[in-house]
Amino acid sequence: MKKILVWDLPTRLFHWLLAAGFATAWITAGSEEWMAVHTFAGWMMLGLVVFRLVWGFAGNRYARFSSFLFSPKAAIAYGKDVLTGRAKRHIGHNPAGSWAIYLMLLMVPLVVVAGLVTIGAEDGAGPFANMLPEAMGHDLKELHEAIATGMLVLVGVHVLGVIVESRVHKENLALSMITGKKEGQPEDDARRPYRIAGAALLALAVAGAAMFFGTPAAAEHEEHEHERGERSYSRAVVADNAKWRAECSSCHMAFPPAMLPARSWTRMMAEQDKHFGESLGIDPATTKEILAFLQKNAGDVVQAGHASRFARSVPAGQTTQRITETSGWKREHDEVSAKAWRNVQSKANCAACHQGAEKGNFDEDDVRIPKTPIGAKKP
Amino acid sequence: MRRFILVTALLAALPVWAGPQDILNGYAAQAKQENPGFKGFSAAAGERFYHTKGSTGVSCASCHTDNPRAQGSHRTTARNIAPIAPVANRERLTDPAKVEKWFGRNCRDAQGRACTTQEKGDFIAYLLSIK
Repeated sequence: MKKILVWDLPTRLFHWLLAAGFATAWITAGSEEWMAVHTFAGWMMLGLVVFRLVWGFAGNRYARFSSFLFSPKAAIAYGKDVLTGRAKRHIGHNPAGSWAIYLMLLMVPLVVVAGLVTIGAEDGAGPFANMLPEAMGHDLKELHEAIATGMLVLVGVHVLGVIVESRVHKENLALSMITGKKEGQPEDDARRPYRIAGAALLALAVAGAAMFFGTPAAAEHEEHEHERGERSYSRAVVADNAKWRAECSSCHMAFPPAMLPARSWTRMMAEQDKHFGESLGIDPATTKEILAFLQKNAGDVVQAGHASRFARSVPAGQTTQRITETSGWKREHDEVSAKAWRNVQSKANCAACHQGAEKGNFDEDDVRIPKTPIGAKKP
Repeated sequence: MRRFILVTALLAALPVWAGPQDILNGYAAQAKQENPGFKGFSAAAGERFYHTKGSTGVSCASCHTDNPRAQGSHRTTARNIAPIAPVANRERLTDPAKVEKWFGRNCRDAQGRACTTQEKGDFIAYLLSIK
């Protein structure tokens, strides 16, 4: 027995870059601020899988698919052997590990495509921009997350298998994935480390990152992120008017004009004597000024991220008065529990969860849902 | 001459800088005009009025709480309402137009009708009596 080469450099790099990509994507998931990094991690993983499929025919003997073609039955049998401590040692990929690879090669494209289709539907961005309606965005996201969770389970099983096997065979399998070396017979040595191919793969990944983060496309993407986040909402509110703010923020927060279409605001001001059960009695001059401001900044007139989506979800010809009755608003809030709604008392109370609501920031990252009823005030 | 301008300017600015007492005096003048037998405002009557539920089942206290010094909350939107008593909130009762606007709105919402000048004055007298 002596040290022999098993994993060539491209295979090792593929493994660790994929692991890093998955970890990055998992950590940055759901954060609008980190969306660009999240998206890049996905693209990198997809590129790595494409490379691995090629390398499965072009790599050294242990990297080739032909060296680890096992049936699912063999994989399950091997898994049982691992659990009972009787698993046979493999120099290359063992049957269970092989299936982890197959599944990973299958799930990465699935999760990435599901993610891209989600972005395409929700934000109208990426290669699948507007391929599916925005209304499906939520379900697509759930699918994307379900696949990702499946991958995490797979990673967990894989790591567990590596730990158990390393103990059973008294060798550090994780270390051999770094050095490429294992103890073995000289005739099992793969000999070819493919250092240049490995360097090329790494260079490709770096070039991909540079392209993604350094090109106008990335800048546009980033701008898009901002548009979706704080800035656009701020813009809806920053278009400020003292009278609008004073009058419309005394009984509830001053809701951004972009959240309803102009025709809804027109009706709202015309029917101010029955404003959700109250009579406003705003003088005609003030009413006129406020209405002009609302119409100028209405969601069907200006583009202001999710806010204008609420307005645009109001069916043509309808003049919905409650923002919370627009399908756009409902879609954004369908995950809020009944208990949370009780705690905030009123759906009009945006700032109970959206910490920056008064300043026009409805960013998902700044949402804190109260755990106890907010009305529990001291006298 | 300079002193004259200064005094005039100060006098001119007086209505803008109205204090709660000025507003109460305004209502008193109005009440006298409406009713020759007007005998002044009563803080005790104002306090009763504050807690009286109108045809709507709502009183001033429903939103402003039983303690005018405390922060209130809008019944449907849960919006915070700053304390209504000037002792707890110096911005209260400083703008006659604002005071009129809120009497206009809230009398309808609570009493189901407009308030009389007597009621408005009693109400302010009550708020000013809170130390």
